[in-house]
Amino acid sequence: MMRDQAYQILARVRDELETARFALSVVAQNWDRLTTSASPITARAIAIGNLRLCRDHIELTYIMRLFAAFEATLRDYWLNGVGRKTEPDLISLLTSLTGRQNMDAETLAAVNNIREWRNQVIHRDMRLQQFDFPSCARAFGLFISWLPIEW
Amino acid sequence: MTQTAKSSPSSLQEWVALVQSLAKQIQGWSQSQQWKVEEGQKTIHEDMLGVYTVPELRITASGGILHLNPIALHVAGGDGRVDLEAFPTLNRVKLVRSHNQWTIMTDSNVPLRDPWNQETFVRLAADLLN
Repeated sequence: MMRDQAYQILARVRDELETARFALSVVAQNWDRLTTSASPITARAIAIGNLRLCRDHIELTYIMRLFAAFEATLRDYWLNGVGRKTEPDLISLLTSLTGRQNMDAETLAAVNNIREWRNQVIHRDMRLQQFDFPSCARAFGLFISWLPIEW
Repeated sequence: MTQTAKSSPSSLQEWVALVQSLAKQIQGWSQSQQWKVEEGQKTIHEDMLGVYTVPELRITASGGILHLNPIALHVAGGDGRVDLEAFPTLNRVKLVRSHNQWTIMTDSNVPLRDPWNQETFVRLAADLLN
């Protein structure tokens, strides 16, 4: 994999979030017209409340996807770049890569803060949005910048 | 340029020429900053235009990489869009064509009211990479 490809994977998630936001906003603005003209099958009998909930959580949903894409990149590097066949937990993986690549502590800390918050969201279903999408993308991008250009 | 156009070729040709001109402009501005510029070709598929190729740039500036990434002619709310994105920060602005000029849109969907010129580009590059 090329490092640029890893960046592009994260950028595609960002683009999907933007598209989803736009689509949700258009549907919300045209709710009455769309729901009166659509058949129950097409509309899936969705309530405006469902739509609002989806809209309110859309950034959080995509941060989780971004995190998964970031972790997949690191695991790809671990397997194909470092040549290890083990499957360490994420905290060990981050720490190990930080040491191997001589990363600065600030880069690791930024990702670890997001990881801890993400664990809280997943395991306790906390919906407090402590980080926004751009700050997560930036932290992950900076971490990836320490990996080799190609592996 | 290769194309299998399904709609008005003048519109597609005009768009491709605009992107070529933008790429050339940015290439010149980047080189004046001693930044390394690599030009590639991006293949784009648009439902209304078919498949065509336009130039894309990878600029190695101080602090990271800038990618001039053409997106499409047919976009909501504009007459063409080219992204300027930065790695590793993943910051981005969109250059949206409207009223025969490039408007700089941030990811917050707020336009930057700066003219599109070399000074703006160089400042923008620093901000995107910061």
